[in-house]
Amino acid sequence: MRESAVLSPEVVAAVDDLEVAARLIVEGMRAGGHRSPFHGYNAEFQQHRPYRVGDDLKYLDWKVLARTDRMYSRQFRETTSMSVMLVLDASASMGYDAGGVSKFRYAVVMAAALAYLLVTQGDAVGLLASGGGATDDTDAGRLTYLPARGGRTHLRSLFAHLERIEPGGVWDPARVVARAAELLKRRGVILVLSDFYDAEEDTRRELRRAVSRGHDAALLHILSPAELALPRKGVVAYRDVETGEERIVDSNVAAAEYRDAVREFVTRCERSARRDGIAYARARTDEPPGVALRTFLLGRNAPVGGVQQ
Amino acid sequence: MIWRAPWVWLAALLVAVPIGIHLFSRRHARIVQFPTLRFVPASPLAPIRFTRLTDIALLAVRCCVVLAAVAALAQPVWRTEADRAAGRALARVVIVDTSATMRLGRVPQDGAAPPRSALDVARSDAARLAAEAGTATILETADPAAALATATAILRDHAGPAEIAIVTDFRAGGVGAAALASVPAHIGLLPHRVAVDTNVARTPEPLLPAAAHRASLVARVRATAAATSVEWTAAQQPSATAGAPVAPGAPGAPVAPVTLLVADADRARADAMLAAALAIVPAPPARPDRRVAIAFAGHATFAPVADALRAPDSPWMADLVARVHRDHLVSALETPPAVTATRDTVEGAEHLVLHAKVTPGSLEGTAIVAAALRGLAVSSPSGDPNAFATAIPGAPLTPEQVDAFRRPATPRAADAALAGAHSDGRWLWVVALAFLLVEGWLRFRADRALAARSAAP
Repeated sequence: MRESAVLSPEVVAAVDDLEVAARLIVEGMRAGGHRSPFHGYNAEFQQHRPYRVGDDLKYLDWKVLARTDRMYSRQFRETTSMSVMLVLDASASMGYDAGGVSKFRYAVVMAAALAYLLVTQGDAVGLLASGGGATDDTDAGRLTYLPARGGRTHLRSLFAHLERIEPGGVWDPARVVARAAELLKRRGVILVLSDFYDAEEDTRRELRRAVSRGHDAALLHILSPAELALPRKGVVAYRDVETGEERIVDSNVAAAEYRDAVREFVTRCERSARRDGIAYARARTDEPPGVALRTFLLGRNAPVGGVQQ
Repeated sequence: MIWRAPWVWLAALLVAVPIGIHLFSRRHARIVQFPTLRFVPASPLAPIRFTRLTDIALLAVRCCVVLAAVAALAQPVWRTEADRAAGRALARVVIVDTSATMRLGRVPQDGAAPPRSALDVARSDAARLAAEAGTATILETADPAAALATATAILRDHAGPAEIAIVTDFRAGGVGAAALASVPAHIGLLPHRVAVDTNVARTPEPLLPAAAHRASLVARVRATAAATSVEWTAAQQPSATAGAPVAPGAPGAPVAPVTLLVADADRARADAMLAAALAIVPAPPARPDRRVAIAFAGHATFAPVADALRAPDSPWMADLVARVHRDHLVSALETPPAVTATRDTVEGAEHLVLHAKVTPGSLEGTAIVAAALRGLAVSSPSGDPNAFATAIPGAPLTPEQVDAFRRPATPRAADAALAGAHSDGRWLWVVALAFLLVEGWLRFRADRALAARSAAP
């Protein structure tokens, strides 16, 4: 990717218009010659071509091989109508701002860029955001929902909804993921943007259930460098922004243990996602969104379900 | 070591401030908003880092800063062995009287040696007194009483024994008990008398033998810019030449405007002096209200000045005395004679009597007569404020009075001796500054170590 197309997270976050920010990110990514890996569900067979080393063996026409002892790969023509539901974590922990770009703002920009990419290539994208001032998991009325649709008008509506969401409160990721799977009327992609601090095991379980029902799942794990180590020295009282709980620790003593716990958590998230066949990518708020998006898209190697012939 | 302000050590209690800060500053933890406490371990808090060596060292350095500053404010004075030795030595200020009686007076010497100037004797004695002391200062002044304040100021800061030596002829009106009372009690007093003999004067050889007192004498006085000389010759016949000098008493001789008081044996010499003076200076008009007599050595009135004598009290008298002293004939003499003045009754009339301590018939005597004649020729007073200054010198004090002034030097207490000593506390300020730099370095090093431990993975 050309360096000139890489915009720093501070610059992108400073762009008020999400559509502009999303276009900047996506076009910067496309300038590097990367195309969407979201090869859709409803692809039509177009033609055979000789097998080349490296082709995915799932596209190898075994019947032709059996008949002719020659290897041919099947090529498909993409059609539209892949549905992606963006599940956005808008809890208070996402609003943590250590002086740079907050995780929530970074997630919003990434969601906008993904929506722009999907809509411009003819796919449908929806939004389900939880949090935004909800104080407990029974506050279902705080969900922000947009059904998966395509088109520019819908895209602008999605941007407007993203702009209006303010991080705060708590969320129940397991319940929200289950709701997203229900709202997707046909098989699609559930893409969760979160820090995954809450209900880790329940979330993983719901994602596995969604995959088992035929959906595709992807996790974009958003981290802030300030959370990777304790930010203060000496005796400090840390207050949880979601629950209000306080814990007094001697940062000098607890720093090493905290750092190891965070590292283990991040590794566990990735390992469990891979094990469950869920696409996983990490993005740091000090990383340019275009680079993070590219990494995320290139790393998607999860099966995309059946291919219509 | 001695402390000039030991009460400042009460401020050492301020060392409790850094101790209190180290004890209590950690009780109130800062509250920091954090996204989640999942990974924040509930570590047991160490008891406010007492056991951390870094903090103990920091606390110790801060306490040293406070104590060094307090010690500097207490104004220490370090005294080395050399300082103490110097403090034990005697410090002496020698005051040398250079007033008129010392300048004009003479000190007789043993044997045939000529008398020495009283001032010269005083200076040599002062040098000897200064050499005897550990440290000494010599002050020359015409007013020894006024110089006592200066001498006291010089000796004020000396820790060891201190003494003021006064070298003078100790006359009434000079240094006395009233002036010496102003000297602090711990400073010793050493009166050193210079035995000035006011009766001693140069005695040149008699000009004429006693048997020639009836002869007529002719004096030829030659006065030049450098010197004045007189040549006496015995005349066979009284000279009748116009303008030639005429011996006093001879027919046609003018009335002498001054009366010369001499012993009977010196009458001829006196007449010769008067004739010689009249040959030099025109005779002033006789004035009955201004009668002057000049008494020479050997006359009954020439005696040590007594308290009953009357001082001159008229402006013309002061003027005449001043003019005699300033007359060029008198000042040109190799040794100007001492001339004092009184009021006395001579031949039934009030006279200004000039007491010339010279032999009748001498060159000095002639010069004085001529100066008196010249002074009488001037009518207005000179207005010299010092005209009476040398009229009558004070009577010398008795030896018992002088010995009463003597007292030994008393060494002072250490604290009084330090009143003027400079504090050495500036070095303790340097120590406090050094401790401050160490404190800053310890904090910087601790912060760097903590930052290294808390660095992101």
